[in-house]
Amino acid sequence: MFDPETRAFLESGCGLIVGTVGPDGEPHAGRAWGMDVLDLGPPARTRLLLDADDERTIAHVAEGGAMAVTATNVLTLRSTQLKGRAMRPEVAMPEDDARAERYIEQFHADVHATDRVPWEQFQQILPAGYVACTFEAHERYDQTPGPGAGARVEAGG
Amino acid sequence: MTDRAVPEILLSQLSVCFEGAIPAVIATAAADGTPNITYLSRVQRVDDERVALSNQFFSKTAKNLAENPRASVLLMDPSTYDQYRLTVAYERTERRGPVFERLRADVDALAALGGMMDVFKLRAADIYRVLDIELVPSARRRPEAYEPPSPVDTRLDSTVLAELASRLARTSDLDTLVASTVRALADLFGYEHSMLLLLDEDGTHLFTIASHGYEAQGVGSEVSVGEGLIGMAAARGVPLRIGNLLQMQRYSRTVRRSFEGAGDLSPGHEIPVPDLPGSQSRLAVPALSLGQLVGVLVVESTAPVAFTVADEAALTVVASLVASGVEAERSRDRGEEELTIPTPIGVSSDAGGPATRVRFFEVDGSTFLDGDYLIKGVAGRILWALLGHHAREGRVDFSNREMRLDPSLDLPPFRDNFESRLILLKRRLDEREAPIRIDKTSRGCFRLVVDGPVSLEPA
Repeated sequence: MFDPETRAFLESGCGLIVGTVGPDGEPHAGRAWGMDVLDLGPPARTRLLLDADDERTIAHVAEGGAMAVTATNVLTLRSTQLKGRAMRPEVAMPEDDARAERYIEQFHADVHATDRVPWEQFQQILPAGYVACTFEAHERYDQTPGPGAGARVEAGG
Repeated sequence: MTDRAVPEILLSQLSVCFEGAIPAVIATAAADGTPNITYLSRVQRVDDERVALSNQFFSKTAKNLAENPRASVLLMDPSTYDQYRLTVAYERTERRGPVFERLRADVDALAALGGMMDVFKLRAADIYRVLDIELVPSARRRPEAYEPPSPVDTRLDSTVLAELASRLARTSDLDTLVASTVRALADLFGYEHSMLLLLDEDGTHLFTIASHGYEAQGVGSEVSVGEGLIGMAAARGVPLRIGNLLQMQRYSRTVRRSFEGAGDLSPGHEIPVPDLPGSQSRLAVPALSLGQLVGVLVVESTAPVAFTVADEAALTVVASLVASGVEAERSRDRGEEELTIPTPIGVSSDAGGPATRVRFFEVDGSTFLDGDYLIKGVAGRILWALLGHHAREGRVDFSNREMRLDPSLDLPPFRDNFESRLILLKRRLDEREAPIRIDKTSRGCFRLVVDGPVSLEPA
């Protein structure tokens, strides 16, 4: 489902936003703090780090609910949306914390390069802790801003 | 454990989040429960209970909302990086009216940055009722220790406005009026970077008549009506405000590439940013008088989200005063010329020394001094005509009235803008510290001062 270039893109310091849905159909927006591709697929499997304070996202994941993840390169705004299912939320391991730290460093470097946001200010949005989950991506869409946003990308792209 | 209640957060306290400095995020869900998450161009507060979201494309988000009217929106305060989650329910779509127009102005501003005015348009403003607002907790920002920001004070300082009105009312001519305006914006309002542009004779371009706080004054620089933020403010006749130019330019570039790739837009030039390095915020306000566009007043800052609705309101008043002043001056100038006594023919006082070479291109009035570009158009033609009289007859004193009758200036019969062009020429010569300058001698009369010999070279 992913080629190596897509994998590198997803594992970089992209902005990661996460959408889930509760059993009542209520959508919920959150952020993620690092992604590692475990299997290129299809379906592709990733390990995704969620904000431990985001109780609703975690609850939706615990229910094995549908999830959408959009990854956006802050410098170019190239954007990809993955849709699939998230499962198995678990307390982050020390290696997950280290992964989140690397991700945040890259993410902030891009945000600083584009918008000159200092580290002191950027820290304001960083979570207090992480919960890891497995996200299985079944579909992929081009989400780069413009009239083509939302076009489905076939497997392997 | 704390017994402190988490304070309720009001939409009115989040006004800075609606300035578009950091893209908002929206999550929706299809009828089958599949979520969708994406960024939004603009979110605006409609009232204390509602927000409006921009809808430019027929997107998955719009399709989902038709099936399931609920959405979750993330907003970020660009000054503190506090993050808020809004739970909203779709109420209605508006394609006209004040909310739509306000959102359209924002989207137009974005389109103008990328030269996409023909294709990047707001289709609709979707109005949502806000059901809940929560602070998104972070390591540093815990809800139990959170104090919501105070609502932005949108009241105008009438004392400052009165002082500005008083200063402008005391100006005796157009030159002093435009100079006083940009100076007062800095002195009284703290706008350190400002410029005033006036509409040209045929209504297609704006030219800079005065500026403050820029390395180069840029007097005479032109902007096409409809192009860029300034040109779009003129074309639409509404104030346009951007609080994060760097990010918006990046966004508009990406959208533009996307349109080009889809074949909907031919490659074109991007509107260049004026000369304030690192400019992040810009506010362009049309100056209108009796329903007619006279010019555009612009302020800039290197700080993100430097301008709010309060600045917009204040500058709308200032721009209106300036427009009325400019129009009054033009009318008075034309009216009083009827009483102007023919001016005496002065004597040229140019001394010796190397000649200043003036090269003039008839085709567009472009004029160069010693090889450096000076000005073009009507202002260039005025200088060429004046220097011709000076060379042939040794004249230095002129009246607006006689110059208006000079067919070589190619002035339109109505709204000829002669005075504005003369002031533009004067300020441009002053900016260049040229050995040629123009001094006002009395109402409707001026003197050409030439320090040294001049060599006229028609191209």
